[in-house]
Amino acid sequence: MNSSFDFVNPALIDVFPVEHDGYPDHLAAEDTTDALRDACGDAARDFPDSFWIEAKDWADKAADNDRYRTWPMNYIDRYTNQNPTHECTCHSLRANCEAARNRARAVIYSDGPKKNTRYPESAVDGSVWLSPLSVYSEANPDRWGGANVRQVLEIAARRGMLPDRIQPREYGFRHTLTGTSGEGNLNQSGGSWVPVSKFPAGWQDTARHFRPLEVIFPTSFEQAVCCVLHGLVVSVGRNGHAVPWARWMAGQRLMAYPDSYDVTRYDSEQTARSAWRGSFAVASMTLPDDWSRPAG
Amino acid sequence: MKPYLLLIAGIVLLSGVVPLSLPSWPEAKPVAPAAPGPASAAVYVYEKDSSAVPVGVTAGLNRLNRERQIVATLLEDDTTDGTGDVPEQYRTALQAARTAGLPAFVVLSGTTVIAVKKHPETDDDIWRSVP
Repeated sequence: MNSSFDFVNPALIDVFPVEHDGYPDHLAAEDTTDALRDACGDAARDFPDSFWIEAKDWADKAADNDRYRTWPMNYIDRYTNQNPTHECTCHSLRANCEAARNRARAVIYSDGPKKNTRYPESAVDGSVWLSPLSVYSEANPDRWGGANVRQVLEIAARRGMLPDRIQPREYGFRHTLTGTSGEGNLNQSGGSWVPVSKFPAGWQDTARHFRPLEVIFPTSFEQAVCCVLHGLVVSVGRNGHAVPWARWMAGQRLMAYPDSYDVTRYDSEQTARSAWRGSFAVASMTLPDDWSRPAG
Repeated sequence: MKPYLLLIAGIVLLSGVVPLSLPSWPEAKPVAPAAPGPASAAVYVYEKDSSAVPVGVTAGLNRLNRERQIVATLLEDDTTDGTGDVPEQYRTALQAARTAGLPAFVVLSGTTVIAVKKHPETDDDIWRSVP
């Protein structure tokens, strides 16, 4: 979609799973802003004043992002596919972390994620694909039932994420993990469930290189929109499913997100206004000494 | 030669009674400092609490990456690597940017700073700052 003012297919708006796919109500209830901040520890940050944009100026800012292709969506170079697992909070987390890293690398993927497509640029620009399973396995050792945002954010901020076995190029990682215990796709490895006890020995030495450093917690719907307008993914959980908002569709006032089912979908403003309370935006990640050797 | 004769010869030389002549070398000419090589990396350094990154800056960096194959990136002032240190590739640029005042755009050739632009706003500012 080239313009944030284009008409969106209604079938893609406010699509929710019949049953939760990893974000049940009893876990969602624990995701207050205070709980998320505590979980993040030193990485927690207030919404920066410099990010504030008056609502009357959102459309102009959206047009700028359209022109330059500087939406968070443009820093995401792949979909993931969690089906049929309960890993949604971790797939949303990976989109947030990967986008923050690619934003720092200042590379723009002109069309955002595309199904069954691999950008050649991903191999050139140091894009690293992270494993949602590397966090989910610790968040919920029982595999089924999901995890809340507080849990997965705490884990990622504490010890980082492992790279997926599939990468856009050979980085020589000493430790990798299956991307998902679900289907996966061309750009994400899928496979068997891997408990933490079966992670490769010494995996922490690699995971620490892919850790959120600064995480912003919006305290209103408007602040969440401002983060997206400034190129930051905002991860939220709502209606049984967690997703990463990555574009504000100024025309219809929707939030677009790369869903963890190989497709882009949209939240209406009404849904978005009910969802920001458990939200977070990764402002920065640990960065490498050399982009061609992301884990040293 | 006996050791005491060596000692005497040394004393005579040091006292200057017999001048010691050394081979003469051509006079060294002043060497102009080597011109810096082409830009190899460029970094926009900012502090997010003070200023958001203008979209034009990001677009300009992307263009450098694509069209000039310069490693052009963004760096938030507090960023570290996985061990908690400033990433090695950013040490020189970060120091130069802090000296200039953030936000600043620093262009490097290897580890040599070849240009610093304070407070760029547009893709053109970024593009024109690279020699």
